[in-house]
Amino acid sequence: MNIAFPAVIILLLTLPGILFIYSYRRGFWRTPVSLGPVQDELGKGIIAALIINVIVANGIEAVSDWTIDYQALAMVLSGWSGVDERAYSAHIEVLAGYPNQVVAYFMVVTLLGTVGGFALHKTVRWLKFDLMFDHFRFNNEWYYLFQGESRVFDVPQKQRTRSTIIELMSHEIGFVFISAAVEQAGATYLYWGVLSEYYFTKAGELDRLVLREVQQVVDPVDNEQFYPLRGDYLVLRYADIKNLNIDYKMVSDRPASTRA
Amino acid sequence: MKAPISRLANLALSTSASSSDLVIAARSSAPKVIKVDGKELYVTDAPKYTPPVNHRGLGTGVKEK
Repeated sequence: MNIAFPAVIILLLTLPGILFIYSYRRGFWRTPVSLGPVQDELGKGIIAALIINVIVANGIEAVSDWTIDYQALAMVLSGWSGVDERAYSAHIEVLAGYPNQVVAYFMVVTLLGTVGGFALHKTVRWLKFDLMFDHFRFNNEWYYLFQGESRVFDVPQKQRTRSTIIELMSHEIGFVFISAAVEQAGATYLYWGVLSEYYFTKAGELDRLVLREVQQVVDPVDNEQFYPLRGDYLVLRYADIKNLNIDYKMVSDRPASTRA
Repeated sequence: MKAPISRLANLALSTSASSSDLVIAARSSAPKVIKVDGKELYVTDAPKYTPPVNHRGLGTGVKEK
C-alpha cells in the first residue's frame, strides 16, 4: 500500500475549500489580507471543501448517469486494503481507468472553490454585510480605516442598518488627513499631511505611508510652529511611527448648510 | 493602495498656493474656506455617527443601569 496516494487525494479534495477561504478573505483587494491562525483557517477550509465536494458530487449524479461509489472512495482515502488486497487494487485500477474524468472533477471543484470565494467576497461587500455585521468584517483593519469606512463601526451593531450605513457613506471623503509622531535618531517629530497611498508587507502588515503636502511641526507643544517640507511626497515607515492620528475631511464647493 | 482623494481635494492639492491652505484648514476641526483659482472650497470634518438623544436628553450613548 502506498500511503502517499491517499494523502494526495485528500489534499486534492480539501484544496477547493482552502482556496475558497483564501479567495473569500482576499477578494479583489490588492492589499494582502492576513489570515487567522492556521488551524482555524484549515478547519474552515475542510468544512468548505466538504460542502463544495458534496454539491459537485450531487450535481454530477443529478445531471448525468454517473454515480459515485462512496464505499470505494472511503477505501481509497483510508488506504485500507482489508482482508483482500485485490479489492483495493481493483478500486485503484477503476480510478486509473478514467483519468480525464478524475482530473476534470478536481479541476471543477478547485475552480468552483476559488471563484466561489471571490463571488462571496464580492457579494458581502456589495450588500455591505461586512459593514453591517461585525461577524462578516474582513480582517483588513487598515483598509477600513484609511478608506473611511471605519466611521460606520462607531454605530452600535443594533442600529447599523443598511440605511444608516448608506447615509454615513453618502458623504464622500475629500481626503484623509494624517498626523504622525515619528521617532528618528532618538527624537520625535510630528508630521501633518494628506494621505496619498499606503503599502503593506508581504505578511500583510502596514509597511509605509505616503503623504502629500507635508508639514513638520517644530515644537509639538506649540502647534503653530511648523514649516512645509519641500518635495512632492514624504514616505513614512510604519515601524517608525509612534502615534497616528486620522482625520476624515470633506471638501465641497458649497457650505455645509446648503448641502442636501 | 491609493487613499481616497476627491476631485475637489485633488484640485486644491494641484495648486501650490491652495495645497498648503488645505493642510492648514485640515488641522482645524472648525469649517474653513480656502480659495482655489478664485473659487471658494469648504473644508469640513466628515460627518460622524451621533448617538440618539435618550429620554433624559443626555445623548451620551451610555446605557443606563
